[in-house]
Amino acid sequence: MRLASLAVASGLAGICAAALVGTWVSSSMLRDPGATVPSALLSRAWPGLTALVGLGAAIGAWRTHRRIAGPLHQVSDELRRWLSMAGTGMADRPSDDIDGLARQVHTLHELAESRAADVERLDAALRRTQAEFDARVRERTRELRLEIAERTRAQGQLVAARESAEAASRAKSAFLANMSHELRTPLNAIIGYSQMLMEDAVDTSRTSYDDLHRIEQAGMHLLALINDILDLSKIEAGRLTLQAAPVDAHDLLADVLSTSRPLVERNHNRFVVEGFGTVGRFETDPMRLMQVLLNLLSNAGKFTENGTVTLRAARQTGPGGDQIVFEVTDTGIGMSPDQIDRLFVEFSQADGSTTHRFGGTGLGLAISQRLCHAMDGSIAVTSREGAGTSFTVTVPARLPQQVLALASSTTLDDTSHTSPGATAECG
Amino acid sequence: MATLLIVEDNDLNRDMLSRRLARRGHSIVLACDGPEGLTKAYTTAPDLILMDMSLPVMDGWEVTRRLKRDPVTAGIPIIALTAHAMAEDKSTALLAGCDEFETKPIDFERLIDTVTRLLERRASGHHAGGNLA
Ligand SMILES: Nc1ncnc2c1ncn2[C@@H]1O[C@H](COP(=O)(O)OP(=O)(O)O)[C@@H](O)[C@H]1O
Ligand SMILES: [Mg+2]
Repeated sequence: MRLASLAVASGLAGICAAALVGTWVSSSMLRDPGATVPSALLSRAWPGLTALVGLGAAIGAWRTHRRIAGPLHQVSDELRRWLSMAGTGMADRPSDDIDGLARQVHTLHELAESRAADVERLDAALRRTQAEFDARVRERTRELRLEIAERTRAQGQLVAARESAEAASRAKSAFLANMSHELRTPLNAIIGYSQMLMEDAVDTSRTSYDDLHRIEQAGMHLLALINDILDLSKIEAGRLTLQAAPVDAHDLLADVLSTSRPLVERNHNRFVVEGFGTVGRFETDPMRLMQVLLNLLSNAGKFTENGTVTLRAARQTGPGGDQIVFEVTDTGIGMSPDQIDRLFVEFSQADGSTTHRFGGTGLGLAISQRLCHAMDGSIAVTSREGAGTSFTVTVPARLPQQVLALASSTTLDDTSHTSPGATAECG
Repeated sequence: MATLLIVEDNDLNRDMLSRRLARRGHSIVLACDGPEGLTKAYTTAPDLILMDMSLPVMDGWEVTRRLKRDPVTAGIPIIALTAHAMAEDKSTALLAGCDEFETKPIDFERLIDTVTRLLERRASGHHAGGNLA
């Protein structure tokens, strides 16, 4: 039923009702002859009255229609909007009648129910997902716990390994210290007695003096070995002492010269010094730097005869930082490429006869290289067989802080170098 | 000349050191272990003691500590002799009250210098306490 026709119908019904009421009133007046003048007047005005009542009823019906149909339209529009949003085909169809409205409401209700079911399904799915997620989280947590436990164990093993390595290194150091003690005690007697006998023999017997000198030299050589081995083991155990001090190149040169001159000049070599005037002050471990330079100069003197040994110094400030470069060049026997390859390896003398002919321990360069590295510097060599050798030592003009920090835990010191064996390998 | 007490357990080293020092004009007293060294420090009142640190029965550090604790013997300069080249030996020796420290094999000429210096210092009235003590 259309809403417009509802309004028309209610209007007509109003007119009919008015006519009926009028008819009823006038007839009752006719039936009553005693009726007064106003009744007559009323019956005369009857058609107009009827029309008036009809008009009132029509207006009432129209307003009722407006009051009912308007909101109904709004409801219908709203329903249509929902239905279209819900994607049902019902949205296009007009729903001006109550049935349509009912259908729409019904559809909407069904829709709502299906939505409710959907929501429930979604809810269930969500709960399942949540449960799965929780399970996965629990599983992952368990895995992570295992992983952490595994890592902690691995770390524990690492720490244990490191501790045992450190213990081994300490044991090695202790062993070397003890061994050095054991070796030094008889050596003390050997060197002491031979020196004492030499004091006696110097006037009496030339040959026994020479023999004693050999014993003393062998003792000194043994001592040099012990000192070098101790040095090397100190370095390897990470217990090398580095003591930074301000160094003036002139003072350093004076110290180097006083010790190295006899070593360099012994084979009738000329000793040339260059460049120290341009270096100025810098900071390093002077004892260690001296040790390196003295070893290089002693080697140069040892392996050069009637030649020239040059000690050169320079300061280099560039992208590599502020560096001091020392160069020890000789015109001696030189080295083969093979020899150069083995040069910085412990006990690597050119051949077995070297010790016999030249003395030395074969440890000097191995120690020098480690010392240079410890000072954050480097050592390099160029050499040609028969044409001479050149060693270059580069050290930073300031010892890096971490190098000193590393060295601060050291317990060994340099007393081994103050003993008479310090220059023994050169004698 | 001065009287030197040598406390040293190694026979060869004791003999060698005592003879070399005797040649330089010192009169020598010998002890072979810690307790004997302690006793002779009192009975012979030496001008200076050369003390090996690793001694049987009572080590050189302990003997030194005891001697330096007693006002009667505290003034005797002590030179520690060790075969170690470890810094801790040196500092332990000096902390125990030793006046000087020498590493074996002994650089004999340097030892003679040290002995002479300590004797002169003592003669000029300086109290011979430990360097670090
Ligand atoms: N300036 C040099 N000229 C020739 N050979 C050298 C020179 N410096 C080192 N060598 C060779 O390198 C070897 C190892 O030297 P080094 O490590 O100092 O030990 P050592 O001097 O105790 O033998 C020497 O024995 C020698 O064969
Ligand atoms: Mg060498």
